[in-house]
Amino acid sequence: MRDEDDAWLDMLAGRADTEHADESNAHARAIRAAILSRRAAENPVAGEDAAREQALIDRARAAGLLRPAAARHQRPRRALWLSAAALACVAVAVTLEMRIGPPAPVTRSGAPLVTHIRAPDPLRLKQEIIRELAAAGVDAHGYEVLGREGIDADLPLPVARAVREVLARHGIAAPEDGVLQVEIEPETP
Amino acid sequence: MEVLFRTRVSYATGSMSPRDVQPGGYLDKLIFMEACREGGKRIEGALRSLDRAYFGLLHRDCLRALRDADAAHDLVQETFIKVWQRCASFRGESELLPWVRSILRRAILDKLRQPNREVPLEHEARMSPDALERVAELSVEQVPLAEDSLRKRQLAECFERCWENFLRASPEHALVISWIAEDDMTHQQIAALLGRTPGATREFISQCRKRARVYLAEWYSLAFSEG
Repeated sequence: MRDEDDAWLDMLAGRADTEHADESNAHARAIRAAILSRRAAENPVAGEDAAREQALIDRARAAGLLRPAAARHQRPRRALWLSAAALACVAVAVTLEMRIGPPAPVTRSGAPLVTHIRAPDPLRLKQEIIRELAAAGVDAHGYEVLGREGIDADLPLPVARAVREVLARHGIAAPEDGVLQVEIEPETP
Repeated sequence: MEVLFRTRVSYATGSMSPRDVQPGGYLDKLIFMEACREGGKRIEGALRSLDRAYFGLLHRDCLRALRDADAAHDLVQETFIKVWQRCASFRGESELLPWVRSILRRAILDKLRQPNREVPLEHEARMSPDALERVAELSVEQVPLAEDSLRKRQLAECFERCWENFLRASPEHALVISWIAEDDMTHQQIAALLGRTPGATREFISQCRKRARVYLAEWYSLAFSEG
């Protein structure tokens, strides 16, 4: 049955040899053709819409991705430089602390923070974290990029205690904005 | 297990030139990555570029899945916000659109898994008669059993009807089938999209095949009959 499923999948994805198709694979080929025809016949919504774009920008501001427009124009240049300098100092301090001591929880404000961890079996750890998050009521998604396993999840705010406990068990700080991103690299021998 | 380091991406507001959207609504991934790296003045413009380049395509995908134009509009915009919140994890191995699409697809699956999702009847995403006609035309070479235009149209209508039933009854399976066909997805890509292990993904694909047999049975019998 497994081989049949694989053959069906390959046919559906257009990877199989269409000359040697049994009935099930012929069905897959026909489904593929019908879906592609259906897609080609649909007309997407027109590209540019100023009101829609503005709604997106407003939404980005509400999500903390962009600064409020008024504040942006009124803020003196000097204050910006001071903020940048302060941020740089914080970054240096955090880096130093991470080098000399055990990893401390890091809080974040408005920007995505990727937590990088190492484990002997990244795939297994990824699945374990996803499973534990699922048990805590969070639907997390796993991905893999360049041999690095990753997890993405949008945590409902405020972050529930059960979720915080799962994250803490794995040394991951609970994100204040609810956007959880974790990348797991294999441990070097 | 060892916590290595945490990286931060800083954001501010500003503009990115409309020229960043290429003819045909294509947004260059290098420009996107640069905007993500620089943050600051480029984020607002980059969001507008994303909207111009991909809203239409993604809205169509989303509408097909959710059958609710407002919900689809909302979910696509939510996806653009997520895209920027996660832009640091885009490494440029693929083009930008497939990556954005994968984020939208996960959001669609999440939405479909929510209990008590209501689909307003007035927003049903049934195809128009013109679109059905076009499907019939495009299907000529793909399903060669149709011998005349009436039969081709019947076939397209039958597929549409069966597919709608499939989508209603088992949206996750129907959508994943359509995404496999549209994007030639591999086993690994499906597993990543679903967030399942390889074994669980195999089981899911097997279920897709069985359910397609059930819900598309009427269309199969029409398409593969002697005519």
